[in-house]
Amino acid sequence: MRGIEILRSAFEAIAKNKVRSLLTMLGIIIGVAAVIIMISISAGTEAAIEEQITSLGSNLVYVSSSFSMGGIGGMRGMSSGGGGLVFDDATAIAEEINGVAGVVVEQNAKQTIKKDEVVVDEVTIMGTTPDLPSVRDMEIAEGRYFTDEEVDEETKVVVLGATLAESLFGDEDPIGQTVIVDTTRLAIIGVLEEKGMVGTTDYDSRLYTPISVVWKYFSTNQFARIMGDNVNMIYVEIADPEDMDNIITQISLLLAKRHDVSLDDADFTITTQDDIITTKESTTEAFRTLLGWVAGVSLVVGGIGIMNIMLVSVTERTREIGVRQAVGATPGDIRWQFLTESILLSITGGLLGIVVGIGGSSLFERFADMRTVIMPESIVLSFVAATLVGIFFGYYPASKASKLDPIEALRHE
Amino acid sequence: MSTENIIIETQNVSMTFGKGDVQVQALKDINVSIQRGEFVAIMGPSGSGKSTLMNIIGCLLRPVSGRLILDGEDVSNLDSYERALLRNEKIGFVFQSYNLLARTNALRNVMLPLMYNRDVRYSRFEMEEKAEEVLERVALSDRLFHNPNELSGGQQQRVAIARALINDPIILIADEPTGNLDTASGEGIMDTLHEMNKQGMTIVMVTHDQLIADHSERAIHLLDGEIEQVVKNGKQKKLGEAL
Repeated sequence: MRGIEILRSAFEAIAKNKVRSLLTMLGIIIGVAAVIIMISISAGTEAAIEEQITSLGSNLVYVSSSFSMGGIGGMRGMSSGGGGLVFDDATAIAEEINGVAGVVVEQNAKQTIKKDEVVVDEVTIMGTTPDLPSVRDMEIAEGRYFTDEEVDEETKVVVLGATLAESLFGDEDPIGQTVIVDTTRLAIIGVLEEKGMVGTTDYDSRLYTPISVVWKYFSTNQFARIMGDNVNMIYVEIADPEDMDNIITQISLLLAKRHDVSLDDADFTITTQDDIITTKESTTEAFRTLLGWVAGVSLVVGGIGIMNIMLVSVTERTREIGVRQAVGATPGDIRWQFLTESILLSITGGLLGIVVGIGGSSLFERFADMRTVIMPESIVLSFVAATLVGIFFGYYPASKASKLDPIEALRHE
Repeated sequence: MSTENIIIETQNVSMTFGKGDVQVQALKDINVSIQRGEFVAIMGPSGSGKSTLMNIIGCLLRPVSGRLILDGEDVSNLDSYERALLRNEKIGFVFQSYNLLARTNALRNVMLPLMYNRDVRYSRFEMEEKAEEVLERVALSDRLFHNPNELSGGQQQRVAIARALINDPIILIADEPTGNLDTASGEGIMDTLHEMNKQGMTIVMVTHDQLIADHSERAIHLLDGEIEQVVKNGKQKKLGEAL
């Protein structure tokens, strides 16, 4: 029998049992839709992370303190900001290395802040330098950022993150007003534009002051208070991304020399945007693999559903098979007929699954507030998988049908 | 009886079913010759082996021993693929219960054997044209697009006859063609078969109904797997008590 006729009779057989065919395809539909939705969600999450990280400034190199000697206590280091890096390291990087576009330092503290009756606990105070907005791509919504003079003179000024400004002042204009941080009163000179979550960090709920103010008023441990100019982190903006590796090497050598350590037990760590993205991606990758398995299992379940129905169909249509054999259908004709039916079922299921998957992804995007990206690969992959499932699970019933004895088949009630 | 006109010949055909102790000898050394254009009835009580003989002649079943010569060709040892092609090309089947595909109109049912034809690749249009032509021969031109459930038993059986004829077989095998029909419709079917026979079609009909067998030129009576007697047309009176 010719392919076109086989296809036509397969179509007819499926169309004759619409409800049953739909139920049979359901497993495949769900499987394919699941693959597409899950991949679109994880791709969306990835894209969002990547976008957020690059939105914090491109070509950034992060230099942070680390404790290669062990034991001295990472935790204390974290909270106090103590450790290897000092303000002068940042100055040295800016002055001695070519191709550096900007350097920003950061020294954090956590404090309770007050404004009249409003009290907010555990607010991160970021002590930085005036270049922060440009290096980390932050916009000033109102007022201004602080200046180098204000850093030098330890002027008690502060810039608020968008959310923090909202929770302290509501509709009021914060510029010109003051907040009390711990016991120190700071004048508000600006408010930042909303930035959103970057990874797990919420930059909008923070408070930004000159780094000298943090050193002077908010350092939690006495040692750090005395040492004064410790920093948690130095952000280095590279002028040309091509130079990235070269500049990282230069920074390492410079800092190792300044700290009098060998590169092998350096007390600092240098990471790049790419490193961070890669770390994030490897977590979503694992997530995606898990979801892939779940979706794969549902495809297999769908395939078993098809096999089940095809076996029922072969039994039900035994007489038809007998008639076809009597009028000249060869075993191959019969096998192809049933195989075509199951492949057609799974392909149709696959196509419906793609529609449901794309629709489902946009529902997730709209109602679950999740970013989704439909990956063309996921469509191709799931469609091919559905077809293979149809062939694999359709083969046994088809081959069973082809082996029927025509006389027995014709006698079948 | 001229030998060159023999279209089907069985030579010492035997058939057994089962194995060992439960082995049943269904046919014992059957020798039958059927002439081109003949109308032969195979008769016998149930268990006599008439269905088995029909299945062997129809190439649905391979005899355990003996030879089947069809149209001058020894077809005893063909495999299932080759037998399928042979059935498609040379044999038309009419069954007691019509065996039309449900929810498929008369035209499509009649076209079925054409789809499996490997000699000629008919276009869709040619298939429909040919099917229409045969349906006309069995006087069903006005029922082309009716599904089996919209047709009477007699009409369904005529669709089945049209299906059997569409590939221009050399022999038509009818298995109790009137078994599911009332007398009037049965007569109608016998008329159609006679008409086809007049046009030159060789017909082998299996029946246990003497009245129906009377339509044939020759009736081969089987009993316990052996030929009991062969009755030529016009001598049925001898079996008057069976009427």
